[in-house]
Amino acid sequence: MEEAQSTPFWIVLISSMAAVLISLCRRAPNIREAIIFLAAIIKLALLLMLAPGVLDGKLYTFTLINLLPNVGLSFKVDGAGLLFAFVSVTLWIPVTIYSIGLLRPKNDLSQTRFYACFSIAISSAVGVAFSANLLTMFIFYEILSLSTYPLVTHNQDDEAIKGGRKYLIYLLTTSVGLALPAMIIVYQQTGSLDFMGGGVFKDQTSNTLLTVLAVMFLYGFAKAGLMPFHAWLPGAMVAPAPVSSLLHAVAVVKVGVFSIIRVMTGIFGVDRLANTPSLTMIICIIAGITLVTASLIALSQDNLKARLAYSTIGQLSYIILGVGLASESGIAGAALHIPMHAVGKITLFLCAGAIYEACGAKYISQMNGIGRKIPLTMTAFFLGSLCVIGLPPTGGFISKWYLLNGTLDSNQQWAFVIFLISSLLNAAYFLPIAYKAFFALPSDEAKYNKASEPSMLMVIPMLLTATGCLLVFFFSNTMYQFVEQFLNVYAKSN
Amino acid sequence: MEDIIPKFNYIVVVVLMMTGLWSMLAQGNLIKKCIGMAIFQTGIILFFISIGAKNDALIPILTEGANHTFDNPNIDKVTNPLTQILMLTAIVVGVATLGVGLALAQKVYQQHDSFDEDEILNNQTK
Amino acid sequence: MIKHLPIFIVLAPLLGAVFAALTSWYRPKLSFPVVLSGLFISFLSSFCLIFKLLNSESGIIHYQLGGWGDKGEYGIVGIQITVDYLNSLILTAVTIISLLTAIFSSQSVNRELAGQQRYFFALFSLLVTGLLGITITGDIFNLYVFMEIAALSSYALIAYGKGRSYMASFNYLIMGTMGACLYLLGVGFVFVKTGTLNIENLSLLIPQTLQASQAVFVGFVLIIVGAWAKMAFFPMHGWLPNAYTYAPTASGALLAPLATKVSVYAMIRIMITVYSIDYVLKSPNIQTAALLLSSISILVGSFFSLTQTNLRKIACYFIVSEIGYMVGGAWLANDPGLKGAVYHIIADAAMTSALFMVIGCILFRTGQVELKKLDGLFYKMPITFIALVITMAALIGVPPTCGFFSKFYLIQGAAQAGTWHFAGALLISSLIKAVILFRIIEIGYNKVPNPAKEGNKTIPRDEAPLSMLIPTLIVTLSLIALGIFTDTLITDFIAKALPEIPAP
Repeated sequence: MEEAQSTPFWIVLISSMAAVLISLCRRAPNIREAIIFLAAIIKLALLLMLAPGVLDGKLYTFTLINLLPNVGLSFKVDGAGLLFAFVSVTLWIPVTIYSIGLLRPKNDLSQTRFYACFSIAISSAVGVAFSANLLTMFIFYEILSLSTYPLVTHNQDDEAIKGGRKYLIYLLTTSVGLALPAMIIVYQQTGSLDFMGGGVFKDQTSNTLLTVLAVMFLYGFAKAGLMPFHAWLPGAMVAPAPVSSLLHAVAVVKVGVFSIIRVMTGIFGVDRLANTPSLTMIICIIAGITLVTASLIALSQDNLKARLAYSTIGQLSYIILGVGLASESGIAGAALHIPMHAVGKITLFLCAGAIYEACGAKYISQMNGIGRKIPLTMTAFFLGSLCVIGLPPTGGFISKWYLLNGTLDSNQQWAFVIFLISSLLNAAYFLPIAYKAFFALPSDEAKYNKASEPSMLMVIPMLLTATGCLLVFFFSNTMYQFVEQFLNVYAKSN
Repeated sequence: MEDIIPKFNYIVVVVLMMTGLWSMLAQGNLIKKCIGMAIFQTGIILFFISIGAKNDALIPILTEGANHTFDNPNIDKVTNPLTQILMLTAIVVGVATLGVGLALAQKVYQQHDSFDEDEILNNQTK
Repeated sequence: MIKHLPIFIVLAPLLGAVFAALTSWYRPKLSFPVVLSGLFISFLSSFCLIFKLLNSESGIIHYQLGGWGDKGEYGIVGIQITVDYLNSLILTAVTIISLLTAIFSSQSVNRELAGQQRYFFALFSLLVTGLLGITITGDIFNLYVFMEIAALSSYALIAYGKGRSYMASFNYLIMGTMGACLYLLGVGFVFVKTGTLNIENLSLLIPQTLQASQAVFVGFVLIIVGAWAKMAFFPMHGWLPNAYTYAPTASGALLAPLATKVSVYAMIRIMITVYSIDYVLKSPNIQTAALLLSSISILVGSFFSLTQTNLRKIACYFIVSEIGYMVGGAWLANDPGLKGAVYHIIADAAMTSALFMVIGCILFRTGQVELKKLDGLFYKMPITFIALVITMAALIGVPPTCGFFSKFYLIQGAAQAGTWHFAGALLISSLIKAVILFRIIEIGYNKVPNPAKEGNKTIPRDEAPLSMLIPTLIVTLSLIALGIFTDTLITDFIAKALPEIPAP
């Protein structure tokens, strides 16, 4: 049920056009910010226009230009893509408000560059969400890496440069060295790069080739943070808080796992995966190791942002593990975990930035007792951590539920235990923070005395996203319907 | 031995070419390099001309007969004119290249007061 | 008039050179406009020829020099020039790039070569004549002649740099002459056996009747090795870095993108038209050796570029590695490999031209091109810096620039032929270029404390002059345009130029 419409292309393009306009508005900050909100609202409106059709089962397609024989710059909107795009664009708005609140009072003079690159990054994230083939996805993946580099090195001090260097080295090396050859081999073997339900490989393709390609793709899309190519994530935490929150909790890393979901369902095919236990076992083992290790490392981190970074790495592996299970529930859980984790993590990162603005505390050991002074921030933090841990009434519970079900449906049932262990670890490294913030005696007197709620422009977005954590729980059914349409195309066994 | 002697022209050509090549690459003096280049090119030119040669061959120039006709009964006894013409071009190219090479060598000499490659390299990196 | 378009392409710059040299006796300033008009006529002719080619049925346009008449009973008499799908794009690329470089170099020549402009531009035009002649000719000896015309002009153009350029030019002369002579010898061997020098005649004779001939095989090897020496293929690449680094800005900007690429075209022409792909595939030892040398050439070029601090030297080593791409792609002798190689000729010409133009702009404004001294280049010359970043991105192979697509085809060809060392070399060179890009970005952008922040000293904007900036931007934007229109280029032109290659 494909329908050709140019709307997907415009959705992608709007924030790039906004970026151009933004870069011209250096002297008019209010106009500049207004452009961003306008672009975001238009994008949301267009997305909402596509939503009913997608829920009905339609697939909107659009090809801009043919780049190679059989392969063009093509867009296809399905349930999972729409959901991901929705999440990115919706969360863009509170993060922009937060950035205004953070950067304006500091008279940061690179704000234009900041907002322009941000817009391009959102463009590329939506581009990845709507890609119809590997080539388009790869192009937008690279544009995302390059456009987020100025954001990571925003502060332009030594630390930022080093972090930025690490960031680009990891991302470019893996994508050019692993993902690109894998893509070319797929093209060589099958003559096309389109994502199709059931995969593109013929049945005779050897399992060894598939395994090699799978590993190349898993590590090639290093934005998904699988160990050992995860080191860019903690390194990129030198970025300002809004960057870390939207990009590294929502857009950049989710692009990585989304790419892997697309490759696994659209190129390898769920059926093929389900019938090749050796392949799924490898995927699950790689993801499982990252999961547990990241959670353990997170426990040992005192720097709040670092703990959040490793928690992100762990949560991303949840999604990859879910896909690796190759069962309907597993994939549904993985696709649902994208928005659930996004809204939770973004809250946590915004809170981390707010805590630093409020009292200068970067380390968790300094944060005892400040909950009494900045209750709004810490409540938001508490809700965000519930969502990431996966406790009701937050959305994380729903996605974890599907993931756990998925392990029972698949042939990797040991993953059930992995999920449980890591959930316990999640609780272990998140709950104490909020608890100590509210109930413990202040550990750092100076910071405690200084602490006061940051500006409203920063608090309101946090509360919005925290409420979002609750909302996604209650609206999870609608979200599941989108995922169901996605599964119809890619995962229903014939 | 009987097979080699009729092909002595090839042997001469090979000797000339190898001499020229050795001189171009192994000699340190710039002028000797230029001379080697000239020898190398001469070898090749001789190769071309020698393959067009024949025993008791006539010069490949047509004589005008009666009524401005150019019928020539001995057309199959002339040497191959095509190779000679090609080599005229090649000789011109060789002369031009030699000229440029020597001019460059002169400029290098004006700079470094020496034609020796090693000395020049030392001079440059100082 | 239209009938004579092919010869105009070569004649216009030749006459331009002659008139420039003559008129400059009276008015030195006339040489530049005369040369410019010659190049422009050439560009128009090649552009019109593309359309004529697309409209023709046979896909080939022949032109007999001197009107020596069509094939009689003796085959083709005299020298013939041909425009077909293989060289039409390259012709247009050469004419456009030389036109843009001429506009680009007016300012830098005035500064670096005061008083010598008139002869410089005459030689400039002569070099373009030689390059266009190589591309358009249909006769292998004529190719030698044009090759030497281009070579002699380039020796002189490089020597204008003074200083170390004399020695560099001399070394280039020795290596270049050796290559040309080997080529000539090869032509001799072929001529001995076939009696003809015309490419079309040869393409009929050699594949069918002379497959087993030793002389023809030796001729093949000699021609190929001669072409390799001319294009700075490992191990005969030593002359290139010095020659192009110490040449004046304008010479480097003209020579670097075009001279070596045209030799690659010559090699491909001999390989597929004169000798046929079948012949190439039947000489497996040569093929393996060529592929190995290509991989080594790519790696050598990439690693040496890492150790250099002079931007121009880095660019020269990039050329060495890019030549490896093209030779390897051609010698893979399969469909994607050849497509990649031919596409890369055009792509690399554009990329190298952009790179050398950008370096020329930097040199013009800051007086030096040492990597370490480029602090704050982004703030001083933002447009140039962005052009540099885009060019480097194309060299790395970031989509949607043209560099990505040529790598795509080349790696596909390597995968099809099973030559994994070539694919590996391609990827490694991409990564090394990425490292150099990071260095450039860090030094040019990050090293300097943000002048926009209060308290840091401001860096005044001092962008390159418009006559230099606009050609640079045109070529840089063409990198992205070439990438986007890859499919058109490949299916409408390059695929039609290549013969049917049986899939393995």
